[in-house]
Amino acid sequence: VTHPYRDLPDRQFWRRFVSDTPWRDLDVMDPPSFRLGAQHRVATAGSCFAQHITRHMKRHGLQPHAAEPAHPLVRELAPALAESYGAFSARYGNVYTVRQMLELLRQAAGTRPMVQDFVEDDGRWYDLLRPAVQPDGWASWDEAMADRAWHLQCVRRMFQDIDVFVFTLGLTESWYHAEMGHTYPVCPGTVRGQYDARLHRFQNFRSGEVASDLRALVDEARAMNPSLRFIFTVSPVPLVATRGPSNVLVASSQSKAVLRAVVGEVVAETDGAEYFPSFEIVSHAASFGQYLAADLREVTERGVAHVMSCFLKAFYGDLSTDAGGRVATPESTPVSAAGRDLRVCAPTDGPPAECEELFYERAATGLKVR
Amino acid sequence: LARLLPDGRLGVAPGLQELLASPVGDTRARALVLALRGEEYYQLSVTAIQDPCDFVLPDRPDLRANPSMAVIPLELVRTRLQQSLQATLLTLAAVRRLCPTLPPIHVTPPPPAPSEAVAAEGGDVRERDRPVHRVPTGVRLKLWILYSGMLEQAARALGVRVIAPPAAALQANGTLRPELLEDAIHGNARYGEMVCRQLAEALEPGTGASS
Repeated sequence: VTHPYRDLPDRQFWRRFVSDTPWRDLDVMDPPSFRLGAQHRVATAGSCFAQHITRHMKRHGLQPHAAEPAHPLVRELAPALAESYGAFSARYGNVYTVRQMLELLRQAAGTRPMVQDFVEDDGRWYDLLRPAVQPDGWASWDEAMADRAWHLQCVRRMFQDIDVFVFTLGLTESWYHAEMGHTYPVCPGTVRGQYDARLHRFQNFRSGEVASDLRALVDEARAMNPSLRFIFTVSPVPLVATRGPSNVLVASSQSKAVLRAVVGEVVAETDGAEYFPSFEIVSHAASFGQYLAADLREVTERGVAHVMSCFLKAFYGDLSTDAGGRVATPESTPVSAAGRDLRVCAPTDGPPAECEELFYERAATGLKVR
Repeated sequence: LARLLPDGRLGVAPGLQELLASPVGDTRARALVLALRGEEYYQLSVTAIQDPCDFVLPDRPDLRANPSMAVIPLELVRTRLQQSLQATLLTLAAVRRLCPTLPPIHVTPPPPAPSEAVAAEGGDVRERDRPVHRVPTGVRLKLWILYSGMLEQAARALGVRVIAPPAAALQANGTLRPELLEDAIHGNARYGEMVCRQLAEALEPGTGASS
């Protein structure tokens, strides 16, 4: 008897693929349509989880594309500030929503005017679209503007120069300016600025909106760079807080479900685009929550290491060859938990990702945010 | 010429002590004219040849930052200039200590000329200085404005009078008139004459024009 499931490989069947394989050994990433080598220029952006991608690539001897490096004078005179330049390929800070990324791309491409939304706080100026990238702010409105103009130039050059854009989708909930229309990474009044109910409006993007934005992002980025390829992933980190009517757990599920579904759709219809399952590796029930920190939200460094070893293996293959022998996958040791074989990789040190979103909770509890 | 010793005292080179001994002993001397260093702001221009950068100077909104260049925070530019000025200020402090009765006057170095004029200049300048014309005029001018302001303020605090470049030597935007360039970075003899007349006027008002 023949039928469509008859000759499928083991990985198509839950029992043979998932049930019988230790989670650490599960090759969750399907073979991608393209591979990368150390020579490829890869840019990263996205929510705070995306910072791990940059950090781990560097740790493994791969250099993410640096479109906006710190100037030598900044490196010499303000090393702490210089470090903030390395979190992503350009100094956009965390980009939580597809809409925010699309608006950034459009400003960089010149198809949308540069957003001028700066606030003064104690004599220093801050960019509400990048509220945490310059911890001590700029000396003047003009300086903040000039830095933003330079930043957009860097983003434009980044999209023109890179081979692959790795984007981590984080949230569907966001805030926007009611008059000027631009999207914020976080609600004004939390990290910086003053919340104004008349100007600052909440929105929770629906799947159709996210899909439309993601398609536009692909199309408009390729208008600048026709050979550009994409790797999309969904952050496994739940919402810190929700402004919608549901509780935060349900709201997180909805947000992640929307993002995951949209990426699946867009990747399926887009040549040169891949989905990388960060979300599944950390958040799927089959992982037994082993990569969650005590708050059941943050991803432990061990979890990040697992995600990144899968990422690097999937896209870079034999890393020891490509990256000059400096690549080492985390050491694994089998343990038994809940009746299953699990493998736990050795914890590695790493700085926590900087998440402006955390200020929602700090602001709500009255903690001093700065 | 002068530096801070590990114990916090000001050390002065013997040569400078010797040099200053003669005007102090000359009863005809009315002032001590100094033109120390001058390359402090220029060093930053040289840095900007290799790694283009710009900055925002609030006093000169007309000199806008170039959007195709990295923006250096103003406080970092100040920090670097302050570091560069340290040697000059220590020397001025030493001069004040060694010549307490002779009024010191410090001549501010000339502002930069427009980059097009500098590019056209040959001149006997160091190899590293030749490409300075690649740094936009506005960047070099802002560095000079910031530097000369910091120098003037710090020198005044030490009791040193500072003479700004002659107004007649400057173009409307504050750059040096191209015909007063000796080479890519220095003023020529004509510029020197203008400075001398200015000094004479400062020492004895009314005499500058004919000196």
